[in-house]
Parts: sequence; structure tokens; C-alpha cells
Amino acid sequence: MKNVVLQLFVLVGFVRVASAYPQYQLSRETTCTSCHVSTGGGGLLDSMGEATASDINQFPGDPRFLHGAVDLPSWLLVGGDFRAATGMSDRGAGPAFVVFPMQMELAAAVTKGPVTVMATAGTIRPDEDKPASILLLREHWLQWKSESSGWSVRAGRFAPVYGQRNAEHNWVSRRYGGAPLYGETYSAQLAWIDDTFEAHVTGFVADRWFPSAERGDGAALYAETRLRSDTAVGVMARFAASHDEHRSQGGVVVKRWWEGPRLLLAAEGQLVKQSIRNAAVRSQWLGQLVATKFLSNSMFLDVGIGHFEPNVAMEHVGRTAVDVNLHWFTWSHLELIASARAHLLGLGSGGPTTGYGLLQVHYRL
Amino acid sequence: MHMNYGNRALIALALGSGCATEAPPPTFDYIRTAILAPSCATSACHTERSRAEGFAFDTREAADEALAGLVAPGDPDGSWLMDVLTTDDKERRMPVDAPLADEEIELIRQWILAGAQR
Repeated sequence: MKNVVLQLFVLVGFVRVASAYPQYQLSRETTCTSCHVSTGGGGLLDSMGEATASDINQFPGDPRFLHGAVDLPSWLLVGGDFRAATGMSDRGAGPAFVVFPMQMELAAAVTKGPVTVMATAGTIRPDEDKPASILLLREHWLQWKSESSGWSVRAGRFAPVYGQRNAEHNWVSRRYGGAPLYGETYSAQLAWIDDTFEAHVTGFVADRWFPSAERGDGAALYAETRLRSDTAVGVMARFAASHDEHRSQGGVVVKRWWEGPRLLLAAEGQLVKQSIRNAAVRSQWLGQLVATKFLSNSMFLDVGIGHFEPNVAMEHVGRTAVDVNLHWFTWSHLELIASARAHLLGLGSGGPTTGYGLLQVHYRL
Repeated sequence: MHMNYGNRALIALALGSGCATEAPPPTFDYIRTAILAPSCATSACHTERSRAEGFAFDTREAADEALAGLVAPGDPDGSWLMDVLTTDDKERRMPVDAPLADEEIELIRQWILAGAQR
């Protein structure tokens, strides 16, 4: 029993937060902020987002909070995400059965005119000596979004807008690409978003009271333009400085949608320079290519390959991840995801090849 | 250290952009910041917040405290850190999501063998 419990807690390391599906950005000729309360995309859905959720479900159902059982006033949005997974995982010593919770989080937003206040409350693996540390107020911010132009301002605790910001466990681009899981900071963001162009500039400082995955202070820029209705190109730059390291990085994102075969290709590439205090300067690079194929209105398959070189001065330490995810939006609020990953070190010559095969259940409150 | 042509080209690009790159030193600061923190101090594991098994690697101070109990200076084979990084035990092998590269583990071994100075 102890071993099962230990396994559960150990594999909370696979946790992920609700994010977004950029697959709907070009395929529906919309922007992330059309469906999400946050101008950074991801997280709590607004009324348009709920309508989209209803549209993509295989079976009918009310997409509103608690399936419409509770009528909320127009100024209040409430939601939540619950995820759990089971399957087989091999971390280098052979495959083992795993079952674990991934996310348990509630969110609420109050809107009056152009101003929104949003907060989340959820759980995270606690310090065994401090049980109260299980509670995590991951995001809390105030946002002003112009009702007559594309300008918006947001301030509070949230992850700086950077990279593709998708829900897929794109391990390479998220952990090593400047958008780590639970990487929220205290941030101030200025953004412009319209139908063909968006730009987000964020200044941030690390949370000194409840530290997140981002320990540095710095700034991030993400800008993306629609060259055509089916093609978007983005550029990004990020800098963070902590007591232990300075990190500068930048790159590009390209997305292309083909309406006929219902196929999206999204590519990302970055260069990173890391200066480690009292140690070394190392150059890194990463690249990621994801192909998404819509099999139906309610199901899409994505296949991705990502590579990260943590230090170009070393051989056989590069990490390559091949991911396959099948998403099925079943009944209202319920998504099933079948995921598989193969992970190679040094393209197979730098250590054991590992991976997993999981079935994830995602319930959106 | 031998590098392939791809990485040489990237170094040229990096150098051309004013970025230097160096072979990694087997030191506490490098190992902690470049290897242990990104691989072990992830969102719900060995951070100061979660302290899985009582260990954290996301700050120098926490890592210093953790490694004092995890390594036997001069004795890599007698160090619990090396054991969990290389064991064939499915439940104890670390990290939980993907292993460290052999060269990264070797760097840690060299550091321990040299006395694990912090």
C-alpha cells in the first residue's frame, strides 16, 4: 500500500495545468482571447469558449458551469479542471503501472466593464511537514481590456506570455523553452490583440513568498502576425536573472493550417544562453514540430517531435521527445486523451530510452 | 571534447552573436543549476515548496542541505544520489519522468570523487 501511495505522489510530477488548444486558433480563424478570459490565452473559458466547447463535443450537453445547474450572474465566471491519468511508464528501469492525479483546480473571474479580476485555487504536492502547503493560489490577477481597441493590461501572478502556450505536454518547449509548468511570477503585461496581429510584453519578478518554477526576474516578449488567414509567424525573446543564473533566449514560431485535410503544422525554434554563477556559460538550442490532424469535429490527433540540446559543448546529452496524443471531446465537459511518448538521450547513445503510454481523463467544471 | 558538425555550427552562431560556450566543470554550482534543478526541482517534486522526500534542489541553500545527506564525499558508489540515478529499481529510479544523460551522471560522479565540495 505504501508503495502505491508513494507511486501516486512521485508521479504527481506529471502534473499539468489547464492551458489552451492553439489548434483552434487558425482552424476557426479566431484568437486565443476569443475563448479565454485571460488575454494570454488558456485557462477559464468565457461564453464564446463555452459555446466552442459545446460545438466540439461528440455528444450533446450543456457547456456552462456545472452543466447549467447553477445560473451565474453575467459578471461572474466559475470553472475548474480535474485531471487524472493511468497507464505504463518507464523511467529507465523498466515499465511500471502508474495511476496518479494531475490537476485539481478551481477558477473564478469577476468582470465589470473592461476590468476583470481572476483567481485560481488548487492543489500541489505538499511538503509532508507542512500540510497546508497543498493549497496553491497559482494565478491571481487584474486585467483591463479595452472594449474599443486591441489594448489590454494585466497585473498579478501569472506566467509571462511566451511560446505556443498549448496544453500538450510539449516537454521540450515548455520545460526548457521558457514556459515551465507552474512557472508563474508576479507580472505586469501590456498587450495588443487584433484579428491579424498580437503582441505581449511582460515584465516579471519571481514570487519570493511561494516560489514557482521561475526563480528569476526579467521580461518576455511574444509577437505573432497572420501572414494569411491560414498562416501565422511569431517571434519571441525572454530574459531572466536570478542569484544563480542569467538566461537569455529567443526564437520563432510558425503555424500553417490546411483546410482541406484539416491539418495544422506548428514549429518552434529557440537559441538559449545560460550563464551559471561561479560555473560556466553554456549555449543551448531547442526545436519542436507538431502536426495536428482533425479526425472529426470532436477528435484530433497530434504527433510531435522535439529536441533540446542543453549544452552544445557536450555530446550525447541532447534530449529528443516524440509525442503522440489523441484527444476526444466526448460529452460536455469531459475529454479523454490517449498519450504516448518516447524519450531519447543523445539520439539513443546517451542513456536509456524511456517513455510512457497513458490514458488521461480531463473533466472541466 | 568531440562535437558533431551540427553543434559546431551552432557554436559558431552563438559565438557570432556574442555568446560563449564552455565545457562543463564538475562543480557544485554547475551540477546544481544545470543538471539537478531543471531535472529534479520540477513543479511538484524536489522544490523548496514540495520537498519530496525532504529534499530540494531549486536553491543553492536547499541543495547544499540536501546533498549533505545524499553524497559521500570521495565515494560515488557509496552515495545515495548516484544510486537513485542509476538503479534498476523501477520505484526508486530518479528523475521520475526521464533519466539523466550518461555524461551528466558521469559529471556528478567526478564531482563526488573529487570530494563533493560545495
